[in-house]
Amino acid sequence: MATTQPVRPQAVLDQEMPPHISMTADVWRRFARNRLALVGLAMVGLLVVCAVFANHLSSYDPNNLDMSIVGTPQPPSWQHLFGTDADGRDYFTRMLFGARVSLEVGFSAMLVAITFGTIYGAISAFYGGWVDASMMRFVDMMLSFPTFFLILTVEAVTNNFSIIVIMLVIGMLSWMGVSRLVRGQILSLRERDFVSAARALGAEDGRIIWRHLLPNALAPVIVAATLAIGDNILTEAGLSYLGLGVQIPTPSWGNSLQKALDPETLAAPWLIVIPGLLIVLTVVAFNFVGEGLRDALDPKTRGRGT
Amino acid sequence: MSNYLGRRLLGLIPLMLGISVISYAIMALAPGGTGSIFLHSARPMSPADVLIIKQQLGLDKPWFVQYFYWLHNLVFNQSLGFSFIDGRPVMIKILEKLPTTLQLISLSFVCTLTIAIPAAIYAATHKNSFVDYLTTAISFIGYGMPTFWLGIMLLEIFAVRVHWFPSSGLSSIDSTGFNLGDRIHHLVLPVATLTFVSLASWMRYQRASMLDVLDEDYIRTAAAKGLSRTTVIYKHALRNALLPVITLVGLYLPALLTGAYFTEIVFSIPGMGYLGLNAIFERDYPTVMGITLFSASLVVLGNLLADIGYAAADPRIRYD
Repeated sequence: MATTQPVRPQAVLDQEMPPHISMTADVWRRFARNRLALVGLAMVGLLVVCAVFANHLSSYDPNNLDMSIVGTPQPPSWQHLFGTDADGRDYFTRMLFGARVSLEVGFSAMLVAITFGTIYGAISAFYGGWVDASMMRFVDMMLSFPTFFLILTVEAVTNNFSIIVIMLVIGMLSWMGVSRLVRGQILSLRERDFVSAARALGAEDGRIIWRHLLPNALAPVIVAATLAIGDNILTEAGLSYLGLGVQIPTPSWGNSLQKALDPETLAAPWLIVIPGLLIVLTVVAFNFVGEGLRDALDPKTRGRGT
Repeated sequence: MSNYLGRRLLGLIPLMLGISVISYAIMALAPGGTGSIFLHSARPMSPADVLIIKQQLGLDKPWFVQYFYWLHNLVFNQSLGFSFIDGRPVMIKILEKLPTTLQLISLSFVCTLTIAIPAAIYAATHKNSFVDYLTTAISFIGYGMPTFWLGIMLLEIFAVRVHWFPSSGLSSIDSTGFNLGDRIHHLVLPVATLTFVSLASWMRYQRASMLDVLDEDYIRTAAAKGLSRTTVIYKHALRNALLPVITLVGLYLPALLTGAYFTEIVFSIPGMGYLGLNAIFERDYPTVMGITLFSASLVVLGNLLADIGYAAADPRIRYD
């Protein structure tokens, strides 16, 4: 029996079918509809520009001590946008270079944590059984420590405060959440037909993990990565505030607050308010972007017209 | 339930052992390691003397052998060793400070819940209202705010500019003995600091949980039956919305401890965080190790209580 399919002219098809949208374009369209996410993205963009062009955006040297005003911090003025600190250094310049440090540490520690956590979680979920059980027990142990205190201790024990070490220590002690996330994703993906198909075609374990499982588990990892940058910036600020992070004279938002409780700094509130506000705004911006991405990438709502 | 509890308690043994190995390994693998005790000696020692003392203390053995000495001492003598700085038992040093930290944490926890739960209920039941936006704003800002900076700001405003509250410590210098009014006066700023940063997670989580519950069929049923709005919200919705939040107690404890440590440092409150930071600066490894272990134990205990609380509160959950 031949079923008769009415043949439609192409013009009608074009009208009725929704236009083809690539995933990236769809995600962007949904991201851009979220006002907070756009604000966050703009703030992050501005920050990146400031950090990259820090040495072009200010005519001062961040470490140049203006001997004529040492000891008496100057309030903000047109000459010194954010005033000067107790050592007579231009605070705006120091904040610009501080942004560079924050972003460097935040971003690279995130890369370390995401890479390690993803590999760890993927291996754990893929092999299952006792491998999975023991690997996840280790994650439980690591998560029982207050992470910041652990980072602080390791930083103190290492006694090396170069930015690379700080970034490695933060990254290597904050991958646990990601590993759980990836594991959960892959556990649910592992049993799907397309994985069996790949295996039947003779794909090796590594190829199945890398080509089939990880790309499908990517969305929540991207969200976690964005949020992690904010968390890492907070961690770096805390470390530097306590003197166990970025060392003076390298400018960092956290270490600018080290002398916050000295009488001469308490008398110059801008020295306290500005770095703190910058930290808050930056972390909030990354959270806006992260939340926006979460909504935009969520397959349950993606492609819906709302 | 008792079966579940038994299994849960048994699982604690390998967890705590693992935690103690990690705490020990960090210290032992440090450049200089446990041997850095010699940095504190008043006069330089000859290598031969150092060797003799190392042999006496067992420091010439590899770190995992030392770990078993340490563990044996902990289990059978309840001892965490002696501080490198003042030679006092670490266990006693920590137990002295523990009540202060617990006091700070529990006070701010009560304050957080008192503010967060009503605010979240209002925000969830009045979506897109001013309070809803305010709650969301506080959630984001509180999350991004470094605890130490908030502490410094409150201190700068309320202790330095207007002298409403003292800036540091737990009691006035001239006070004799314990004075409740004086203690509360000293605790206002630290508790406010810790409460504000904790509010972020709680309000956000509680609001989301409430919104989820309000979408459930049984809420519509309750409303359709003609129950009053108050009954529906406070009796049907709130009870169910509080359940998932119990889990947050366990999840949030590490962050709360970190926040408390920072608060202690800013306000010079002699608690575990203050002790720990000084120990870190002085390379007092036994004390640092003790505090790391204590913090992790508190977190494990909190998680256990949260799990038991959840199982007890939700009749739908069966653990067999």
